[in-house]
Amino acid sequence: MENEIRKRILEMISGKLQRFSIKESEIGNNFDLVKSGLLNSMEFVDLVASLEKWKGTEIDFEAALDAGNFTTVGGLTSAFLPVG
Amino acid sequence: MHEMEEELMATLAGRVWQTVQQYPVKTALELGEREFTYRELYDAAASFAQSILELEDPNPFVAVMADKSFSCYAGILGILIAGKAYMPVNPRFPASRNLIMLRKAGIRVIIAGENADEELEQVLDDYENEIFILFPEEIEWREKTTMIPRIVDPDQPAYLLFTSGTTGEPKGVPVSNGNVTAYLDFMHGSYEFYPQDRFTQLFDLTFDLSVHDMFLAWTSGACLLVPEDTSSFAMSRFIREKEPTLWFSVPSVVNVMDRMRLLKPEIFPSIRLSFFCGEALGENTARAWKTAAAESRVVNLYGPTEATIAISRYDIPDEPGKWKVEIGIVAIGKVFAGNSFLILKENIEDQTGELCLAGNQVVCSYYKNEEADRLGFFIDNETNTRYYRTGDLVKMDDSGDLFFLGRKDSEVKISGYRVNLKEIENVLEKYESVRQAVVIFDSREPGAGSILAFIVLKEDEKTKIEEQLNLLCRDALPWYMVPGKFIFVDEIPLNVNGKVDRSLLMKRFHDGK
Repeated sequence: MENEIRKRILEMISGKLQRFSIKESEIGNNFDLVKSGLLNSMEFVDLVASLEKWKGTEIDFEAALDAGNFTTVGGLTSAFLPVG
Repeated sequence: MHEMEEELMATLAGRVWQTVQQYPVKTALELGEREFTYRELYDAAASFAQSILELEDPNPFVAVMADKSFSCYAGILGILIAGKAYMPVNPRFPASRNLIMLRKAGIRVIIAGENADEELEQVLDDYENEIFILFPEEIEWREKTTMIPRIVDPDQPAYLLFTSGTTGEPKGVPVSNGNVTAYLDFMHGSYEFYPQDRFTQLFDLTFDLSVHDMFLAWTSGACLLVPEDTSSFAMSRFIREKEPTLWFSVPSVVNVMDRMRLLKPEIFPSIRLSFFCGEALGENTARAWKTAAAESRVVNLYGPTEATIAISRYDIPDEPGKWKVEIGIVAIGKVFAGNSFLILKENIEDQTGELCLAGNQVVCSYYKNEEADRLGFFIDNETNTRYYRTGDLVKMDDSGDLFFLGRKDSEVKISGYRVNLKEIENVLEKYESVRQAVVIFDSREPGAGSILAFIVLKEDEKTKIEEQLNLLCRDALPWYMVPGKFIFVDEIPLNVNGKVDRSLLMKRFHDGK
């Protein structure tokens, strides 16, 4: 499940990665999609909305933000994993 | 009032000095978890001021190149205490752009932030002037200083900011002490600010709305709250933890919070007064904010940098049915007392026209830029008044409230920053493979929108050069001006008047052609 979500995130940002000459293999779980400058705030929210649509679920943004690493690839992936 | 006190009150630094006398041990600044009293802030500022004065630099401007930190705020205040004007330089902006600004202002003294060494080096490598860098760790710190701010003529600049220009280079706007004190007087006369107030400080210091936060707080004995993380994502938590009483942001911040479903009913009870400025305030955005900050009075401010922070306001009524809205955008209301305006219409029967401003908040000119002065200012022969042309199209209703309807030129607002699209086109057309570039702001994109660059390459150019163009823009422009998409086209369509047909370009783009 985790790999599936991660794969989907990378697919969705592939255009941006190409533009910035970043290889997928360079994107670790700690890669911050916003702080790195890859996405702006609204683009990140758009990405989350696309993931929500794909998964057919709505995440709890407040809880995700409180986790502290929501804008990293790992943090975003975790927000879509089943709780517990 | 004694003559000296009167003269001090005509300057920004003098007004803060008076607050320091009244509230020396109150918290003036909260940076993350660290708190600083008015006395501590002023002592540090006076230490910077002393060092600046010892350098005997004749230039009226001193730059501050620092991330938001105690030294940065103390540096700004110190520059003003020394009778100089501050010029903020964002270390995260491209070195080439920062270099242009330093050159234009002829800077010889820079206050450097704790972690700005690398950025400074990049900028100063190509800087011709002799330069003195004041590092906070090398300053001789003074405690319980008795230093009084230098008295300066109210017409002397308090700060110098740069806005995006059509020629590909930013324009300097010198804002005087008199301009800013006029703004502060109007705001203090219109709203009540208390020493127990807690002001947010979310704006970048290169953005003049930060002046509102700093100097309304520090002339009220209030506390300035600077979040460690200024991203829109961090704001909901910041408000709940730090409990600001006054909120000031661009509407985009609220749009992001709203899309994240964070604006739940009455979630921000601490906020009693909210200001929005820097972008058109959408009706839906204002409603979403009113739901979350239910106790707050909400004010829509409007004003270009040339008119000092904001020059008109619309206090949004509590009753939703009474809101004044046009094309989904909340009214910008009435121009502040002490200033005047006229609406320049092409035809007398036109409803809309360009808003032109004059008065005690409007700057006299750009900094050493005659061409920009010629285009930006004019004398109204009837009243012999010098007006600034905002480039903003407005209309006025019967009760004198103004409504912002758009721009008459290629300038747009992105996350509150003024962006002249021609400046981006100029950068792109400097690339040798580019024959023509047309940059369009796509307002159909959600939220902050997106900058689209349509590129025609030279005939012999076979390869797509998106990556190089992206790098070029990132080197020359701040992040908010870098195009989101580069679209390569064979030709730029023209309309019957021979002008670029932007509508057709956009239609083709959205149709995927």
